[in-house]
Amino acid sequence: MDLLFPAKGYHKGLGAEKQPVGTTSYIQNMRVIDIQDNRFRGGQRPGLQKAYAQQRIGGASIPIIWLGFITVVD
Amino acid sequence: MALFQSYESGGAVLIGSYVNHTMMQTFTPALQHELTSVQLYVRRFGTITDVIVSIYTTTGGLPTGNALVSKTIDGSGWSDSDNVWAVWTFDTQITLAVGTQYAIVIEPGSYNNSNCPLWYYDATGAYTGGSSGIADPTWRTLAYDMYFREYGDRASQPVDKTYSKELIAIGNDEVWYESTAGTMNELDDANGKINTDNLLNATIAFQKLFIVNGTNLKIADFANTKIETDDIKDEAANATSYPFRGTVVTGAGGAEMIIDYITAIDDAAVIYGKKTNDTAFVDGELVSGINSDDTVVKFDIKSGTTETAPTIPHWYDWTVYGNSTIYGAMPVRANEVCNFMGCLMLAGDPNYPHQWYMSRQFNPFDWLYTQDDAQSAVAGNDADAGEVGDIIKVNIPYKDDFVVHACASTLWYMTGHPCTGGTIVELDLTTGILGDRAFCWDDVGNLYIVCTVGLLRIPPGFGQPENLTIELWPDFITDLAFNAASHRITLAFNPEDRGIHIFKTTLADGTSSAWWYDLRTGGLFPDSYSTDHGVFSAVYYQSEDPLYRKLLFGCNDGYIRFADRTAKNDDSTEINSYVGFAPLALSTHPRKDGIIKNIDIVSGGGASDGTYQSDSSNVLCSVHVARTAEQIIEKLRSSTAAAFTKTFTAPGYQKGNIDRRQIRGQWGGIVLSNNVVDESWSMERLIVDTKEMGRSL
Repeated sequence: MDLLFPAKGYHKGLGAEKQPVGTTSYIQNMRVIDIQDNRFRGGQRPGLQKAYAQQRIGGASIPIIWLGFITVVD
Repeated sequence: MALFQSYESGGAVLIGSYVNHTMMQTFTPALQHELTSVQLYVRRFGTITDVIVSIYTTTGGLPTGNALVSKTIDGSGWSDSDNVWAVWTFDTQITLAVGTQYAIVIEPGSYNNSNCPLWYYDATGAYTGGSSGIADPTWRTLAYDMYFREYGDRASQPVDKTYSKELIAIGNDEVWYESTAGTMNELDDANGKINTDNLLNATIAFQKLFIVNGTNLKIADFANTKIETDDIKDEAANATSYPFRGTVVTGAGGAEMIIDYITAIDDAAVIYGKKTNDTAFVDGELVSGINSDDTVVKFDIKSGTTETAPTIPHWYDWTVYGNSTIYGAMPVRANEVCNFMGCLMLAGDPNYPHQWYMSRQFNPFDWLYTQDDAQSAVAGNDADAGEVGDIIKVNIPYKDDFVVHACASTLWYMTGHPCTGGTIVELDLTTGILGDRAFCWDDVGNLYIVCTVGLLRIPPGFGQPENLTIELWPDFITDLAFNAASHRITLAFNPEDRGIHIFKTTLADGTSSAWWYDLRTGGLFPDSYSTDHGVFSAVYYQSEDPLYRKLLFGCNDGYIRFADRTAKNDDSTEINSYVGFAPLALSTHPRKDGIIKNIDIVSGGGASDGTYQSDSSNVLCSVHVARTAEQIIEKLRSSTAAAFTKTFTAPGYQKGNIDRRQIRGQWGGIVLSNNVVDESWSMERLIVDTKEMGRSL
C-alpha cells in the first residue's frame, strides 16, 4: 500500500469499514500544507507564538475578549 | 542606504595626504540625499592611527569654510601593500543638494611624507562631477580623480501612506491600542470603565472604536481633537445656537475644527472635532462659526485649557449629540454593535431582545427615529421591516447589501436601509447561531456560521445554506457539547492558509477545543491547545508592517498570538500531532487475516541539513491490528498500547529505515506522530506491504 496524507481530514460519517479515501478518523494538530516547505503533503500545524511578546493585555492572566484594528488618518 | 556618487576606474597611482599636502576630491550629487558615509580606496604609509575625513562645501571647485561633517577612523590596521576601501560613517547626516559641488578631504593631521594615509587615484581624471585637489598649502585643483564612493539615503521621497493602522485589544476591564507597530499601550482613561466579565462587543467606524457592554456605551476616539468651554452657546457673545455636527468653527487665532460631537448643547461642554489646520486653540480664545441654518455659534475656550490632540485616543461616553433629546435616545443597554451602511446598529438590550436599532446614516450620535428621510435613524418597532421575532444574538453586516440577524433559533437578514424600503427576510427558520462570535466571512463572500445543526456555509446572495459537517461528522454538534453559559465559539478566516479556525473555549478556564476547516480540501482537522492558548477573540490584522500582518488570536492568558509557520512549539510547549491510517483492510476476504510488514516512511525534506529543502523531524510509527475495523478505531482513540512501534529517522527516505516486523490481523491501523518539543514533521508517503493469510484467528 502506498498511503498519502488524508487531505480531506477527519471523517466519521460512515461505517468503520467504509472510511472514505483521503480521510481519517484519528488525527490531531495536522495540516494539509506542511509548514516546513509549504507543500501539499501533510504535516504538523504551525505553533502559536506571541505576537506582542512584551505586552500582556490587562497585565494579568485574563482573557483578551475582543481584538480589532482601526485605520486613522495621519 | 544607496551609492550616489563614485569614481573607481583607471587608477594606478597613490598619493599621501599630510601637512601642507592635503588631498581632496570634489563631487556633485545628481539627487538630493542625506550623506551617510564615504569610502576611500587607501592604504597605510609608515605608521598612522587616526584618519579624519571631512566634507566641505566648495567655491570655485575648492573646499571652503568649516567642515560640514567629519569622521575619524583608525587607519593603523590598513595594509601598507594593498589598497582597502576604508569606510567613514558619519555620526550625523547632512543633506547634499542636487548640482552643488562638495569636497571630500583627508585631513592632514600631523602626518608627514613618511607616515601618512595614501589615496589611490586615476591620473586621467575622467569623473565629470568634480576633480581632485591639493592644499600645499593653498588649495588648487589637480587633473586627477581620487577613488571614492559616497553613500546616503534619499532626503525626500514620495509619500504614499496617509493613514495608520492600530491594533486594539480589550481584556481585564482595559482597552489597549498599538501606539507604534509592535507596541501596545493601555488607554488609561478606559481602565475600569468597562466590565469584561459581561458581554462586550465593539466595532470600528469613523476612526473611532464603539464599545457596547451592557449600560457601558463608550467611544475611543482616535481622530478628533478635544476642546472645552464653560458655555457652548455664549449668548453674551451673540451666539444663537450651539454648534451643529459638521459646523466649521474658527478660533480667534485661526485654529479651525469641524465639529463632530459635543457633550452638551448649553453651558459647559466638551467638544470633539477634526482639526483642519495646525494652529492650536488656546486658553480663553473666542471660537465662532455659522451653522447650516445660519444660526451663530460663539463660545470661549475654557480658562486654563487648550486643545488636546488625539495622540492618546480620547475616551468618552457614547450618547446622542449634545446629550439632548433633540437627537433622540439611544438604547439604555446594548451588547451587540456593527456598522451597516454607515449606520451603527445596536442590539442585545435584554429588555428588548428582539429589537434592533440603527443610528442615522453616517452619524453615530443621531438616534431620533421619527425623522422621515432616507438616512434617518430607525428601530425595528418604527419600521415596516419590523422586529425580529427571535432573540438577536448578533447582527452580521455584509458589505452595504445585507445584515444578517443571527438569532438564538433562527436566521434572518435585512436587505437595504429600512427607511428606503428595506425588508427582513427569513434565511433559515430551523437553526440559530451558537454565539455572537460564531461566524466569519471568507474572501469570496461566503458566510460561515456554527449553528445548532453544524457548520453552515451561506453563499453570497443568500443561497441555500450548506451544512459542512453533517456528512463529515454527523455528531459534530453533539460532540461539541456547546453550552452558551460556559463556552464561547470563535470563528476566524485565515486568508493566508485558506481556511477557517473554529474555537470552542471554556469561559472559566480557557480549556478549548479547536478545528481547522481547510477550504482547499473541504476537510476538517481537529487541533488541541493548552488552556493558556485558549482563544477568546481573533482578527486578521491588515497591519502596514508585514511583521504584524497576520491572523491574531486573543488568548486566555492575556497574550496576543499568531500561528507561526516557523514555530515547532506552542510557545515552548511541544505539539502533540498525529494522523492515523486506519482502518486498513489487511485481507480481501471477510473471514481471512492478513499481515502487515515492511513499513517505511518517506518524510519531508531532501537531505539532512540540506540547503534547499526543509527537513522533517523524526516520526514515531505505531502499529495496531484487530479483528474488526471498529476495534482499530477503539484502540487508537483509547491510546491502547501498539503492537509495536518504531521511530523513523527523517528526513526523506532513509536506507535501513524499513521495519520488517510482521503482525497478523484482519484490520490494521498505523499512526504516525510526533510529540517532542522543538520538533515538527511532514510526510510524503507511508509505504506498507500487506499479505493475505489464512482464516482469521
